[in-house]
Amino acid sequence: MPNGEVIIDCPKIILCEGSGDAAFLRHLIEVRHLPRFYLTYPTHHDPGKPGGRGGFTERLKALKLIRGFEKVTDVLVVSDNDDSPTRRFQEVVELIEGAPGYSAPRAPRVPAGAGPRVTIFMLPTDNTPGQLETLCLESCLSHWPEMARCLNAFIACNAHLAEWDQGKQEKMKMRTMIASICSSDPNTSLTHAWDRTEDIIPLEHECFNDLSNFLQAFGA
Amino acid sequence: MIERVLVENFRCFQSLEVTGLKRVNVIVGKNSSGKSAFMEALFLSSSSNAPNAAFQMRAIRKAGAGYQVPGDELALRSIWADLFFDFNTEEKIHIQLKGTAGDQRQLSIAFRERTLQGSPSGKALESATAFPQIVFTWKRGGGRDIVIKPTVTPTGLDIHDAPVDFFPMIWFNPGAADAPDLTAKRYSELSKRKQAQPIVEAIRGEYDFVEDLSIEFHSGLPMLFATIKGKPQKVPIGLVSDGIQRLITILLGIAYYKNGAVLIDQLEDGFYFDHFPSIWKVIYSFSVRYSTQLFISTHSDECLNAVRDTLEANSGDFALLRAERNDKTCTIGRFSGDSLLSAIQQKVEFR
Repeated sequence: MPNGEVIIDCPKIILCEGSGDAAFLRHLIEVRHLPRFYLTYPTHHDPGKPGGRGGFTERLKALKLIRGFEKVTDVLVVSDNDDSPTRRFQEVVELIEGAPGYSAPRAPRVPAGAGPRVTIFMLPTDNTPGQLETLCLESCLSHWPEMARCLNAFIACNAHLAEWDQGKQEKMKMRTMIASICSSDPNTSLTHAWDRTEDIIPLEHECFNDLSNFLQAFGA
Repeated sequence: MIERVLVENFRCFQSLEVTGLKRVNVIVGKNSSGKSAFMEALFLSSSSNAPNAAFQMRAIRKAGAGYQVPGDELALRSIWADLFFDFNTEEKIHIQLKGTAGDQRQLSIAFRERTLQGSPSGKALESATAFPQIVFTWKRGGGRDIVIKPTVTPTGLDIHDAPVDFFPMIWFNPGAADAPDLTAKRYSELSKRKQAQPIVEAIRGEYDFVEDLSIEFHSGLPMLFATIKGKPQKVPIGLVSDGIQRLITILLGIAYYKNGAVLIDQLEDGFYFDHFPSIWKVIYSFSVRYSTQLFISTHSDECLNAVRDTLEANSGDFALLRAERNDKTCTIGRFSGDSLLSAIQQKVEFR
């Protein structure tokens, strides 16, 4: 809930990179009956300020002004490893350190500080390159296996795509999968992928177990 | 500059401490959360005219300013009871301000037994008015105490000592405009010292159809007039625009109460929305120029968003104060200017 946040009504906050991540987490929590969290992410409304991961510092500072923050015990920052788990984790640490009053963890999944404690979870999982789409693509392809061969053929037909790094390729594949599966609206984004009737990205897939188990324990 | 405020047993505050106040303190909060009460606490502690001010505030709040001469102790206490937390006049009100330079001043308000004059025989005289009286006591760091024992008379409050403003402070309330002759007086004081030009330039910058300001007599009274482009004669400022009049009043207040504090309740009142960014800018620049501390309340999202440009360049000079009503008392949370800027940029609701 990026805008119009009036009150933080849960002692545990998840701060993720954007609306797609928030939609994924919201549906994962619902499908897997996980504990309730307050989900938030940086906004993109200010052209001069970064949204996404780059907006973590500003969002963390802004959260303190929302009513109910005084009851928050834990903040979980969820971010992507992209091509370099070490570099991206360090980047998230520095973004947290930029927000006064928060302590930055020294390792993923290890909480730091108090009032509130801060924990970082890196996607797809610790020390593995990739992002949310890495997991979503695995789930999607397992449900729509016949599409995998076509996707690879599409990449092979477009030589420049082979030069893209793995992260970009996964994002392209994920968007292509959603567009081809979602007949009601091929323009559907990851944010709304779970709002469609087609089961595009099944959240029961085992690739989400690690994150799901972590959230279960974190929310307990 | 006031850095810390301590309030006990006053209005909705049982016990309140606010520290880290800055040059510009933006005050937000829901209705009945203590925003005005906080400003009242600041204002009452600044002037020995506080007993009158307390009654004026009641009028501003539309709670009635009239009263009858009390015939008994209960009636006397009830006249002043709304100043006291939970109307408990048995407890003492204590307001303490500490400045960044280590200076300090305190106001206490309490009912005390009257000191009865002794009879020739040495026995106290019994009197129908022997019930306790309210006593306002100001303590200033190093200075002598000022003690005022106002008496309610049929013609108003009788304050024996002449009122003394020992800290320059003024409060602009949207419901109470300054008298035109008072605005003229302040402008004249600045003009005589050749210090009115920044006001003229600020108004010209904000409203380009205003060419100049001057004091003229209108129906026998001195009044501030504006020279308007294309108009054949000067116009009383109040007839030009509510917004212009209010901005002039505020800027004059900041300049006139140099090294003091200006309280502005509901800044947004009277201004067209597209003036907000530049109004924040000019008000801030005046507060720096005249070393005047500002306490500004607003309910307006547009008004708060408009402070962003000024805040980005000067966040260290700002603090956000948010008043909250809890079950029993009101509190005020203090946030840094940097956090305020982030909240505006991130568009979170923090009012």
